[in-house]
Amino acid sequence: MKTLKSAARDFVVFYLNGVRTEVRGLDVFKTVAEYLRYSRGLTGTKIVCAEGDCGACTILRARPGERLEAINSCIALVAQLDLCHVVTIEGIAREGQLSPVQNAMVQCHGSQCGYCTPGFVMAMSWMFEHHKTIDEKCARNHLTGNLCRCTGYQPILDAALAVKNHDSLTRRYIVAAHIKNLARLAKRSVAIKTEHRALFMPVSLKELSTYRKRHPDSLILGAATDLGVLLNKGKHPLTHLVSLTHLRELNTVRWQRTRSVVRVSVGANVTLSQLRKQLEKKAPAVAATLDLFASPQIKNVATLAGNVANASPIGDTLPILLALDASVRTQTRSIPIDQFFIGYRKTALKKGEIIRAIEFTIPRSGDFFRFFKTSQRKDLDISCVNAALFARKSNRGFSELRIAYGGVAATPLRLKRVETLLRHQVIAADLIERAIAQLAKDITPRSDLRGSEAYRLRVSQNILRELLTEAAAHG
Amino acid sequence: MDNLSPSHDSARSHVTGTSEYVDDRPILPREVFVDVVHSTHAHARVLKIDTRAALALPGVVAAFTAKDFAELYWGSIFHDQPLLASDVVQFCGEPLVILAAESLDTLRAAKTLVEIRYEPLPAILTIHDAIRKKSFIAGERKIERGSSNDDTVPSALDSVIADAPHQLEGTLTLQGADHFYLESQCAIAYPLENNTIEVHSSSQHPTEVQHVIAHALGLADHRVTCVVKRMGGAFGGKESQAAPFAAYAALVAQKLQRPARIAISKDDDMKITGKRNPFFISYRVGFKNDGTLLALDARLFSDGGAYADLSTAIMERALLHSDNAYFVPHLRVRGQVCKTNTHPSTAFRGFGGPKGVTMIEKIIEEIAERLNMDPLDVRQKNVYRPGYDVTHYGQKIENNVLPALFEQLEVACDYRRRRAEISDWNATKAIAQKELRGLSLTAVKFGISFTTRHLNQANALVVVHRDGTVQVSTGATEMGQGVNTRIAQLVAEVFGISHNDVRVLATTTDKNGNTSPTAASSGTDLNGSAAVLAARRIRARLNQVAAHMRRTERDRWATFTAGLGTEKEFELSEDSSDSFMDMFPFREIVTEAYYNRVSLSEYAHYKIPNLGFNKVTGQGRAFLYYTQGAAATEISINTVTGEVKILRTDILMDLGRPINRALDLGQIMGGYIQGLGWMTTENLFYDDHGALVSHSPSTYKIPNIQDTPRVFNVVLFENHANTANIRGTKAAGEPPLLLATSAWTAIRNALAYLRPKPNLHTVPATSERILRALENF
Repeated sequence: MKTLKSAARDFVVFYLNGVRTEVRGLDVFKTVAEYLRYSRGLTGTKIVCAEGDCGACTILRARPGERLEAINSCIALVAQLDLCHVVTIEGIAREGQLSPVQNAMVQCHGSQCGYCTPGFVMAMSWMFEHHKTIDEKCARNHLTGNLCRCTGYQPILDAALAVKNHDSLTRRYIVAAHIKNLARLAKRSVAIKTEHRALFMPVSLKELSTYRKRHPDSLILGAATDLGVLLNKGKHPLTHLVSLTHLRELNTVRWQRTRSVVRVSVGANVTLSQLRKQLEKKAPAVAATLDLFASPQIKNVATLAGNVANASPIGDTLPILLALDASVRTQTRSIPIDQFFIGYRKTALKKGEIIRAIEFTIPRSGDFFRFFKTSQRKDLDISCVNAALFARKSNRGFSELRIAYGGVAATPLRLKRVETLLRHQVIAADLIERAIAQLAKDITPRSDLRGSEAYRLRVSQNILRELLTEAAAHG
Repeated sequence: MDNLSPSHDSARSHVTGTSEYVDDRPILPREVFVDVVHSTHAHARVLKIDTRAALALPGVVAAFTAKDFAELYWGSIFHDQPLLASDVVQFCGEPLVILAAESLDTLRAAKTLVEIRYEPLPAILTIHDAIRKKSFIAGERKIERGSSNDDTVPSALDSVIADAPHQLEGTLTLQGADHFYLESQCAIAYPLENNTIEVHSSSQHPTEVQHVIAHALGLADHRVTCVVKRMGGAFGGKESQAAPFAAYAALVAQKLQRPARIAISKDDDMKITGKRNPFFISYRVGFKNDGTLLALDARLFSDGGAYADLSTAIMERALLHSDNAYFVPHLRVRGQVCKTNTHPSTAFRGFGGPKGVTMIEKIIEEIAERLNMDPLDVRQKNVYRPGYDVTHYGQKIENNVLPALFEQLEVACDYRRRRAEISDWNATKAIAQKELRGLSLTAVKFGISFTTRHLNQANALVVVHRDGTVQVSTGATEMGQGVNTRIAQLVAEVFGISHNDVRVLATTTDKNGNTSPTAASSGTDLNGSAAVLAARRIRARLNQVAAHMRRTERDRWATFTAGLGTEKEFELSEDSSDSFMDMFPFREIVTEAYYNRVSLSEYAHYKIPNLGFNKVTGQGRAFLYYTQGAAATEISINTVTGEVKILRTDILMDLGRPINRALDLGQIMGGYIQGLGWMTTENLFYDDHGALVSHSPSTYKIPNIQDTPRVFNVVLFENHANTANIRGTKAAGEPPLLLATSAWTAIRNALAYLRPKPNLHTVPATSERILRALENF
């Protein structure tokens, strides 16, 4: 530990709009948005919801070796900028000249009160970082994470479609000298202590294990899309953190084929955006499910492991993982996901145990896989009820069938009794109705602001009818 | 770019992040951060407030309670609301304690350490509860056609309904809605020398902020200045409700003699501040076989929340808009504001208008369903038209374009063909495709003027500088609507210069006193008119100077000779009707005027003429003019989940001769989408104890970019005949919001294709409410 300490770096370092920036002490534990606004006077970045739901705080960040991605700075901690390249609204215009995105927003009247505008400019700039040409659908998808209350969005869409000759921020800000400068520091772990707070960022799993053994109560800092919210809302002080950010071995997606089964193992640091890219060709049906939830800004940082560890009964990836026969890989063992959620927000993880990867089966051609989600608002909303169904057909009905629901019990739920009822049967209308009746017995929905018990039950049944009808008709 | 539509004057600073909002102001040395601790009970006796633990935390500077204010009560109409609750809390979220700390972290920690002990009291949480317990704010208001409310003339209305060929009765429940301005309530107060205070507030009503602070702190008005540079959205939510937050900062500034900043979180903002008034409406209607309305009798109850705020005025506007676009021969509306233990309801774009309008549009749909007519036919049968153009409050509708709007939009949106297609779809494909479709075309007629006469005044200061550029100060506040841009254009037009040479300054009460809130869609009408009056006076003087310049050889102009005093000074005389302004560059005239000691500044006051609405009789000319429009919305319903999609929206609006087309279109689209949220997804959810549970965007769902209509056509109606208002323009702020009613009636329309006909009586039409209507559970 002693040697480790002496080797550890006691500051966080990143490039902010091209300027090398070191942060020490308490500022490291602040959210990025607060740090920018109140410690640096960079007030272009706005804080509205402080929970990652409005996008007013959008900035761009590139992790080492990765692309610039839009993230919500209000729920990211300064610690998470370590070794990154960061671009804020102040870094968009060039020598007083508006960027093409900014210019289009002015010309198309894309701002009214202006409070959401920096966030939109950042999200739109991010879109053009990665797409030379766009269409309306692409624009809507990239701007889903940004709320505007004034314009009705149409002028903003018009602006997006009017942008010409985007000036690459990657080229401007991710320059070789800066990459080299940061790379020199990447081999050392980071340890920051203040009077009341501590942060450790190990660079190897061994360091992590040692530290966790000594400090079992330390909190794992992943993407912080939930922890950042807890901090902002005064629900958790985040006093002792261990960040997994620098553990390169958690960054990989591995494909394993045994006979006809293809499993994918998704490292704990892999973001949902990165995962979607990986799945796009090999499992388009699974990739498409990722479009239905969270904002791009969240998907650019959030991970499968985080969603699983958080164990929310309405976590959107959880029914999908249950339907795809996932397992949770820790340092020492592999836990089948249908044994992982043991109570309301309680998991089978033991103290000190961390999730290294999530593995699941990729549907093969001919398989039926569908995810269904209903919420108050179609996009960027927490589900009222969600459901996933995986089915493989043989000449006698479904040979394999997994049905999973969220939002209908204290945990995400596999409907094993419903599955048993349906397996190897001819799927006729009366059987579907029996399955629906069984579903009503197996779920225990509760009323809350996203829907009443009666609505959740009714909609769950309607969804099952849809899924089964489709699955029966499939192939 | 459209040359008639300069961009918003802050557009460049918006897109670069350099526009300064209150909380963007640099933090000064010794500045403290301020926040409030609020009630967790809807109604309770406060037994104890203990701030010792909070004050013991290093970095916590002070805590203040109700007793620290010189005068505790405030209110825009009635002074009934305490700035801080003391003995009793009246709603969940009511502020009790002000805390000041050296840092945000400390402040957050300190908030959790304030201990408050309550003894819960029975709470009234709904309108129905309040009606049962006769818990009301002010008395009942009544407006009836042909009646002066003297109760000596018996009303024929009851017998007309009884004798009508058809009658129907119904109810309508409208929930509240949160403004969700992105910038939450905030203010910074600077204590200055000699017991004066300068406060920067995000407020639609700087004069009220000034007065509330002076009153609360025991200062004379002239010791307080309020500055409003811009707001990050307001929508009515900062008309009255910005004032208490400014007062909190001001109190801390006064007591500590340190700059004090309050910028509350979105969660606290949603819990503390009032929202759109919820309404419960019941009505009876009589009508003819052909759909002609004969009589309407309606009772409106609104939830005013714990304090009066603006609720009585909001109710008045609801009563005045219960006719909307339709002539009802016998119309009686009665309104009562209820007092409940919820946040005090307040202004929200449309004020009460949307409630009255939604009611009558629902009635029209129901009549059409009863008679198997197309609702548009019923609308056109009843629309205000020549001979049928006097409202129930006795105002004749001048420059009425409603029939033309219906006709043009019907054609432009291909209403009849799409109606036939939808009928066909719903009959043949809806069940298999799990998708029902509906289409509805509704109108809006929105009265422009404050219904309280004295608010219809404004003042402006125009200063022309020697290089020919101009600064304008008015009481208008900029909340994104572009009022400053429009005023700059108006003033530029008077002088014949570029709008870029006119700068509209931050609104401050030391330049423009006794101003009205920027509200009621009247910001440009009132303040633009005052600015134009001032500019015209300067122009008249400059015109004389120009005439003098024409008469005088150039080298004898004062511009070149004043220093020597060799020429006689030019004297202003009677104004000339001829214009000489074009003969010289503006800048040269200005310079010559200065050297001739001609004033280049002017202050003007404007009041809207000919208003005469008598609140006691409920009769008279309430409005200067009406903004009118129509919208057709087509929706689809997913019958598995009850979710709604907006397929297409066509809007046609009469905004007279727009000053700035693009800004007006922005108001229309933005207002419509905002209304759409209220009509569909925005669901304020309270727990059984009256605490708001949906207090952030993760739970309160305003429309996002995926929710806008896939086809969105907005067209401005050509109308050059509006002479009532400045430059023939019409106000655009609130009216478009009311067009979103067409989305709600379209949902009703889709449901009406089912047998038995499901019914929907509540706004918003959430997925759950729709599925319940579809499947009757």
